Amino acid sequence: MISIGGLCKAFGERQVIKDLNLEVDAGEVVGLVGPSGIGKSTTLNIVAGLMEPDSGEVKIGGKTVTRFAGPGPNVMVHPADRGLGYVMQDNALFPHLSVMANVTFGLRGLDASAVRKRAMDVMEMLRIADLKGLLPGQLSGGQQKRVALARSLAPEPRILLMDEPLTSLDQELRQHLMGELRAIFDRLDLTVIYVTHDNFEARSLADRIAVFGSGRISGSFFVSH
Amino acid sequence: MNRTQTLLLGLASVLFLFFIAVPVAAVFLYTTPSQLASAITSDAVITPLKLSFLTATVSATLVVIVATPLSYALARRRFRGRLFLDTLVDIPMVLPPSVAGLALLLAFAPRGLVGRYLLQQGIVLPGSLIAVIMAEAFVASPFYFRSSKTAFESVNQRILDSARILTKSDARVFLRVTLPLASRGILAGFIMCWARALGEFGATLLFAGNLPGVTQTMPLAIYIAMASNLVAADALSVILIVISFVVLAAFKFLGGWQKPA
Repeated sequence: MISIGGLCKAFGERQVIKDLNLEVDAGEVVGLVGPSGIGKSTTLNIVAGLMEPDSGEVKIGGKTVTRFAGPGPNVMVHPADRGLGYVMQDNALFPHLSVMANVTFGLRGLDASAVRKRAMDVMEMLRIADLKGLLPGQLSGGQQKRVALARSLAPEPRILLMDEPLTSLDQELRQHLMGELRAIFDRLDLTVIYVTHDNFEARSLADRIAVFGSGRISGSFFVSH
Repeated sequence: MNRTQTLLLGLASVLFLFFIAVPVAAVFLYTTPSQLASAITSDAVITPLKLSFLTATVSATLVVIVATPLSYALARRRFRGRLFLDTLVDIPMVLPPSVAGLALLLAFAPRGLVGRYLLQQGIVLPGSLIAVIMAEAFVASPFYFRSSKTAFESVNQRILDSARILTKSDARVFLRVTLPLASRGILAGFIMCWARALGEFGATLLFAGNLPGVTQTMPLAIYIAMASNLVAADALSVILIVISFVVLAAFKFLGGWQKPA
């Protein structure tokens, strides 16, 4: 489903990603694990189309969505045309819009009642329907995380990228959300790249762990649940 | 800090406040309240007051419409010549008003760089209401530009990235996310631009002239009234000071030019 090949990215003199290769099968949840600040988020940003690599290729569903310094012209498909959702570490919710407006933001090409139904379905699944009129600033950390997830899932993406989604939450809430997240991944048959520095979190959620080190995937192994 | 140092610092502060407050107080104390009330309702005050409000509002609005796209581009895009453009738009802020007026004349007067072509169409700008608006917009535009650019720069890139994942429409991202999140800075910029336009004197005098009822704004009327009707000049000054105070307070309330943390 996701194929990353020969990815390289430097910031000035600092080579953050060096020939990174990763294959993620449809419906697979891959935990991208490694210490903070070594390029995991950069990898997600490149897959999402928010950042250009120096070289390398990203394919989604067999279609090239990013290609730089490869054969033929460079390719950079718009992030909204990649069929993916992205939950960022800081949620990046729209602070001036209600929970409902956040969740419906990515729903285009549907009539108003279909938009509302889709949003309500997702919000009910994540148990935030009663928060729909509130602003993000009025929510707890856990509630904000649920809204960020609902906003990403509302357009029904096939792929979900998650960048340290549980880092800022307390231990009890993390444990609780981990169980919920895994159930949602299975229920929606999502292909997921889940970035975390927490081995336990990755093992709890992922089918496979890909270890990120020295700018590339240094090893990968399957997790038995 | 010892007592002598504290005393010296306190003395310096008192001197500074004295220097600012005394001239302001003098304007308020020159006329009695009844003189002020009757002056404020006279034609000598009302006519330039109306003209100033009209031209300042129109010029600040036009600046917002015309300057916002470039302010956004300079805030969020990196391109060749960016620093040059960023400096160019600040020039009116540091030019002496007489130079600004002369520049406008050389550009838009009937024999000017652009004015000669306008003349062929029968358009003569100097001495017109449009010239007042142009002079005010020229001088006041950097005040809006700085504030709106800072506001656009302060919008969290991650939030914009989130929006770009959800929609392909740049216009939708701008109108639904960027613009609302920058709105306080945009409003603060509009207020400062409006206030600067309201107080504009030199460029307006040179480019638009001083025609009562046509181009004579409040600052020009104050200058003229000082020779013959000091009470009217004082009444206009009181109004300008009150407006300036309210505007500055509003600007500070809205966050001014400070980037949010």
